[in-house]
Amino acid sequence: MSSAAPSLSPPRRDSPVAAGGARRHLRSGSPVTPYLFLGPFLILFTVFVLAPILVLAWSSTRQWILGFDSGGFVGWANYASLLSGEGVLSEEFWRGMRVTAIFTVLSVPLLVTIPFALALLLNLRFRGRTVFRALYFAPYVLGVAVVGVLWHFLLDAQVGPVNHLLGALGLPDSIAWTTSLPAAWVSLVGVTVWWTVGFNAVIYLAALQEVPAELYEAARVDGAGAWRRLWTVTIPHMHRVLQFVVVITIIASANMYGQSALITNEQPGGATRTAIGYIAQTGMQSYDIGMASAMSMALALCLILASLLVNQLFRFVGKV
Amino acid sequence: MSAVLPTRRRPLQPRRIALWVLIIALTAVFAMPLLYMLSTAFKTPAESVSPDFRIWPQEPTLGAFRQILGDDSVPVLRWVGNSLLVAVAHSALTVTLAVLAAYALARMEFRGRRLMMGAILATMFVPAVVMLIPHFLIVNSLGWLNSYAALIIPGAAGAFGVFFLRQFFAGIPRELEEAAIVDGCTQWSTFARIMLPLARPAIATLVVLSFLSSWNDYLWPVYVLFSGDMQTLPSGLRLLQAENTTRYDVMMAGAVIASVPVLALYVAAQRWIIEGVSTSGIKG
Amino acid sequence: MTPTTHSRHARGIDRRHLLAGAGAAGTALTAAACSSGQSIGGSEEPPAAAPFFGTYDGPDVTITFWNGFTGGDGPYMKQLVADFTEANPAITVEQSSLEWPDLYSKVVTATDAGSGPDVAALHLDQLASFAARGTIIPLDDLTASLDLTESDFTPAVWQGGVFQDRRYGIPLDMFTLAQYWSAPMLASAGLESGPVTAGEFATATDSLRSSGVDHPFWISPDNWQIFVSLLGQFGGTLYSEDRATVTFGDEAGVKALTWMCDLVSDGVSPSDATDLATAFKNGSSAMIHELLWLINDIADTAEDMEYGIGPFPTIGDEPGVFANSHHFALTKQADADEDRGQAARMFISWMSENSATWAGSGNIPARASAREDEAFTDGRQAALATDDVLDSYLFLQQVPGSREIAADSYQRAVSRAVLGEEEPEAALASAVTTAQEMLDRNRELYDF
Repeated sequence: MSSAAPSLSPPRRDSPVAAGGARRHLRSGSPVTPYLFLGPFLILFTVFVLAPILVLAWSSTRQWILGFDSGGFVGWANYASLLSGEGVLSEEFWRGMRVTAIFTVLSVPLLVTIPFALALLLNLRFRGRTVFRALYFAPYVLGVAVVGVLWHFLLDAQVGPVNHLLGALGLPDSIAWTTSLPAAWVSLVGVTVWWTVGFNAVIYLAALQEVPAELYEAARVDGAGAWRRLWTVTIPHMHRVLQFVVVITIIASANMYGQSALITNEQPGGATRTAIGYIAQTGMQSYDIGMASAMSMALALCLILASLLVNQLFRFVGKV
Repeated sequence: MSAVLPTRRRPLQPRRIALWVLIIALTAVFAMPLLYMLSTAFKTPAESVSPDFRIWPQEPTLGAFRQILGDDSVPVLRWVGNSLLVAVAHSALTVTLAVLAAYALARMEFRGRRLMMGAILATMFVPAVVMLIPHFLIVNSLGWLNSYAALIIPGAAGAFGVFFLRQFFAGIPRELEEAAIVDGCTQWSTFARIMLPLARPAIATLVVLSFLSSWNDYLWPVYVLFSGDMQTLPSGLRLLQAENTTRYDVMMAGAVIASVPVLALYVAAQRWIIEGVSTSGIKG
Repeated sequence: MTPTTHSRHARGIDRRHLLAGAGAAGTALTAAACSSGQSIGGSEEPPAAAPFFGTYDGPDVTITFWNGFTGGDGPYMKQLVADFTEANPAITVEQSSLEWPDLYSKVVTATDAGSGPDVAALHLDQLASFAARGTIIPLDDLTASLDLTESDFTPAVWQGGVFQDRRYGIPLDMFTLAQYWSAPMLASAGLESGPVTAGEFATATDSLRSSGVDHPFWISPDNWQIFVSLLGQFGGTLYSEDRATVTFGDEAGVKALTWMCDLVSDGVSPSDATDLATAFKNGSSAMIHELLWLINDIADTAEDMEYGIGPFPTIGDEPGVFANSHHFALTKQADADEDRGQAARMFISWMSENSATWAGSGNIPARASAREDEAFTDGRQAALATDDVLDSYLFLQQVPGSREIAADSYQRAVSRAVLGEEEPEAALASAVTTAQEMLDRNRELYDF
């Protein structure tokens, strides 16, 4: 990147000069202006996001099962028993965390790169591209219930069309896509990519519009090929959006549970039940709010650590 | 506007042809399940589970659609109306709040900005599924159960929209704003005249995404809606499914009915996301 | 109004007042959280409601009724409710049909908030879970005043509605595991009807295979109901009688699960089959064991299919088959208002008495009188309701939290063993450890 001509590098948005200048000018407005902009959002945010989360944090320190005399404040006990690795709750939670981790590690790279390639493709001018764009976005328009039921049927080892089709092509036709490992991982990741590819692609598409056309022209004049332009213009310019996409994709993958509830039915023997699947069972079926809250907090903490890591990675890559 | 591949006409090289063949093949694979879905919606119940998987139904029928639309006890059109109303209001509110907040967070200096941004971001990591019960209690104490407000408002102040737009605003060069302020624009007019048009692709994208998240959500509607009349499309269509059976034909017909409005919105919004921008012209 | 009802009433209002008055959401939540502790524990004496005399003559009132009868069951329940309203014009019933898992995941919070149902239809095996939480209240007063006894139903389903010596449900219907077979496929193998003993079952699958059916009987990793049936047939139970010890890992359990796994290893069933109904309808499988919903499903999606239906075969030492039931239950919310409480009781007793048309849903009416009605005797499920078969019904024991225990223990063991991931004995052994620990925890929490 450092080899790029100065005219090619994106403006340094965070350079001290620019930031200082902006600060001076923007400060010239009334000091309450920022709060007027933020006010409406913050009110709803406090009531519907912050307050429930604080309640969750509070209830994670209590023994609280709906409908029962609560044992009251238990301090870190819920967390301690989760961390102990002993007992069904702890074992099942960490089993779910492992499933979530495997799914996240397998799916995030694909969900970040494939939509990017797709967005580059869909950003081209060619005949019929509106159909193309709508087509690739179409699966995401379907709800998880439809996607789950559809693929459960398509992937059924015995009566499903996928194995039928593979057989017709002379390929192995008895793969247990939903009831054996590692085939179930392929199914879950594959279906998730098919389903949500349009989501990240549409975000990338919006970001591609923000890359100044002049930069491409300049690069072309400098004799840069398509591949070089991608690395010296497009990607550096989209770095914030890439970071955004990576973080929200990690969060989305870690929140996966509809697919494993509906497609693999948590088979074989609960081996594809995710952490969220177990949290939902604990909170919504056993009504064990205290434990479910502690699990959620633990999961959130792991995710925050993961995304801080991503953040560092971006900083590191940005410096290279 | 092309990003990577040059637009000027060139003789077709074998590599380019191979690339396009690959793209078309992948698209075909991608589209197959959709086609299968679409055709299942026009199949008879018996054919929808038959072992010879035809893409073109043997005896195409509108039976599944008739079953959904013709049943008096299933007010599908009312559900479509509910869903539309809720999704439009929800996305309008979400985007308005997020645009204002994201701009302030991206571009204004004030006490506690970093802390606020950090707090907003941190909330994204808490799994949504455990929020159902606290949300239910709040909505109940506000007296909003079984109302549109319960569907429109609680989800509108999520961190996603703010984080999303902040990343875009932060990517717009500061020089543009500085120039506007030097020219005597107020903060508000800088925001409204300079920043909003520049962020149009991002805003249009957020409209589509937040419309969709409301349109497809069924967990929350199922939790706070009680009467049949108030259901949204996805929560209502669930009622067509029995406990153990799946009527694939009916389910897919329902999915077709539910998808068409959103796909239409997406195609319409594309003009705002992609085509409209080149005219705004003020880049870098 | 007795003093007890009065104080319950007042307390209900008080809490709602507290919730409404709390301005900040955080305060409201705290209040709701703290008040969750005031529900009735199983060991406490329940407050007596005003006596019910079998009629409702109060002012016009609206009650809320939740059930999970979506899909094909829905219209029959809707009709039944409409008939009730016609016969009892003073009572308006607001019916909410939602999927069973949704119903179970919101009924506790909704009832605590006073916005849930007054009457709910629940599965028999779920009564203990919601009774222990105080969401549903005892109905002994109702059954005493109506003079209902087990002879009005069947002994097993009637006893199934009792938890800790109190009745929490009035049975509406029963459903069970049935044997379905394709009539033409059996005929071409020289068989007239489905097998009824272990020997006949083996002969039947052999003849079907020699007639050219590769896999005549399909079994899936989700077929835990077969396991529960066979467990009973071999003399075992899921839990000991005092519900303190997990017993499904005993010899009976191992025999039951081994029989299931042998079907796959002998090739009678293909491996990794999950969609049995589709396989049966499209002629891949000649026989399956499935619940009664399949009757209406075949009528809807494969009306020309010629099939037979009969009782689950006796593979073990004595007959026995998994059965479950939908019960009417009264929630604590109903008694917040005396008229509503009375109307809700009226609703339950009328619905139970007039349940004959419910047979159209494919279930077996629980009420003995309804089982004599032509609406039922003409239905195909009547074959599963002869006296002998009814006697072999095995209802799940009333254990609070039993569904979560089941999901993480024996259902998982069945799945793993049938999929060939683990030997039956080992799969059951680890499931017993899990189940025992969950049971111990629940016994402590729910005090049973």
